[in-house]
Amino acid sequence: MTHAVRHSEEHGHHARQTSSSDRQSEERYQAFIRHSNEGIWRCELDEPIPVTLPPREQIRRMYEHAYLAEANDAMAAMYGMSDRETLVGSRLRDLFVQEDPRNIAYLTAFIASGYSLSGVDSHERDRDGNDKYFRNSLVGVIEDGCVVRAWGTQQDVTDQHKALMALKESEARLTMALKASKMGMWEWNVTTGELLWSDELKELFGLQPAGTVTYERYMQLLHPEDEDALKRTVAEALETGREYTIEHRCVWPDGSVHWLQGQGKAFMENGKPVRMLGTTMNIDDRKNAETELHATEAINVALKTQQAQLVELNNSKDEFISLASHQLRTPATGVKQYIGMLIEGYCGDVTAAQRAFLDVAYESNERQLRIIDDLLKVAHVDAGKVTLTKEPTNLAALISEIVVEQSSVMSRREQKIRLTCNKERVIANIDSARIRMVLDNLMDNASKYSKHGKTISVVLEDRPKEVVVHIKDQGVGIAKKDVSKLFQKFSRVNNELSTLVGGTGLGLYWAKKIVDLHGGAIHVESKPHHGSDFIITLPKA
Amino acid sequence: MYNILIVEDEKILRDAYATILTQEGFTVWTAPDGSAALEQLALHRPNLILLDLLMPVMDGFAFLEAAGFPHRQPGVQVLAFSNLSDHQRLQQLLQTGAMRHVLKSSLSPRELATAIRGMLDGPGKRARR
Repeated sequence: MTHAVRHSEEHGHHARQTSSSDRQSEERYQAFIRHSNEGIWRCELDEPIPVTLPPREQIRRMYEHAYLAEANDAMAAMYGMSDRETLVGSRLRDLFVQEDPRNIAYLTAFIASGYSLSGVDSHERDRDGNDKYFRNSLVGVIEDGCVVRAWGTQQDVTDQHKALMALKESEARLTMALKASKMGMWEWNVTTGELLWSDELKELFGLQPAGTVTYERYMQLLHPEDEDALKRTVAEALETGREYTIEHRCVWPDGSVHWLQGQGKAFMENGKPVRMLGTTMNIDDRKNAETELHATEAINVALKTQQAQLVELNNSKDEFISLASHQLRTPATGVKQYIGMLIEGYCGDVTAAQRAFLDVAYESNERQLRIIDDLLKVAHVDAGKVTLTKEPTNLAALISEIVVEQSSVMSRREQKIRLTCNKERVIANIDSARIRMVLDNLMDNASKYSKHGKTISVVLEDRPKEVVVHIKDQGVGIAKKDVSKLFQKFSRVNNELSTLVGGTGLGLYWAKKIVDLHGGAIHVESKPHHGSDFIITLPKA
Repeated sequence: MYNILIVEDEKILRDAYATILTQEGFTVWTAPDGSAALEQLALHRPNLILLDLLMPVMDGFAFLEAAGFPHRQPGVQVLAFSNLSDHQRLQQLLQTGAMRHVLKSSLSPRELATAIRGMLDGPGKRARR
């Protein structure tokens, strides 16, 4: 219908005068209405609405004054009601979802069309508040320039509407997903050669969204090294119809290279490809991460190899020192025995001048042997080959024995050694042979780094859980900056006597290792020109 | 007079010890390794064996075991002579009191002679380990 029906009042009500044919017609009409699957309705207005009013005002008044005056059962069912009696009398404003702009658009269109409209959807609610969508065809009745009522039919299109909504929603989600994943889409009509690119895809190739992309242009954008592989993959997909995934590079118009992952599938008709669809995404981040990961892995492998080499090197170094020391010691011991025989008269007398030279040679050889000894001991302890043989030992007796031995050596330098210990028995669980070597070493140092006439004092303290030994001298002392270096391997501290003493820089290193193995500690308190106090603490148990 | 068996693989040292101890008045036999020392032991009965521990063919430890020290060799003293000081096996042997040990390079000829004489003249005494 294209325009409003204008008719007299009696047409809208039961005729006051009815003929038999009229009655028959009326009955047929009623039967038609009753049995129709469509909703059929008549809407009345409490107050007529002038058609000259602005549409917005007309709509406001429709919501205010319109009500259902007539409806069939099919229509009542659309609102979840058992019969039309329940539905009749409902106000338009109660059925319509007023806030939905689509309803405003619907009513505006109704007015604009001259009150005759078909195929427009309204959004309404049933008695339970469920959303319903109806497709309407309606016509208004105008009397004296006012809308007075409307007739109409409606179909329930809720299911279609919901399906459409769901489709739109899923499309929107897809678009959002594509945007979020920066995924581009393309479609290729194999028959016509037409190529469609989404804006996102153009962006992925560094192109502006405007303009079309031809196959030739696309080929230009591919990285030359990846072009062949991509062509082969696409050709295979066209032949088999199988889906493919490929990673390749592209070169943007600005010359920068980017990594892309493309997926595509050809669609066949009668065994021939007609269409191909695909998606493309940027994988620069992943590729960069992979490159970094490979670099890190390579570094790790290199480090592990290096570490293994260092361990091997260190082991072979220990082995070398051990072997070399053994080898060196035999000839050096030979020299000692033969010079010793000369000095000690096993080959007759020697002159005083010869004797003096032999003494120097003997002393020099002695020093060489000490160095070899130290190297061997250190190599042994560094290789972890030292196993302590601990037994309860009377440290008071052990130390006094060492002090007696040392006193004869020290007397040659006019030095004195004094032992202070208030107990005769101070028992500790130690490896006495090795602790003896440690104490020997410390007392020897104390003597060597003290000038003639000085006194070395050894103090043994018995504490509840540990014993403490002080070896105190009045020697040259150690500068603060050198104290930390003392127990390091090969460290030599320079002072006025160090050249004369000529140590190996291994004695204190070895001593600390042995004390550490006992679970004890060694440290030094020293003042240059006043002397040093080496303090060893050993647990008793 | 005492008899001494010198077991030492290094010829210059073996010769040196032999010279020193002969001049000191001992009767001396020599062997370059443990297995040769076993042969000497079958022929002679030394009062003391000056024994190098690290030797090719048969080392000092294997020799001591093969010769059955100390039980099958009563009255034969052993002065082990080596560069070992941190050797576990050596420590165990020293614990049994079956022998004494000195660092090979620590003694001069005279000191070596004195140490040996000390062991032979005072069998009850124990040299400090």
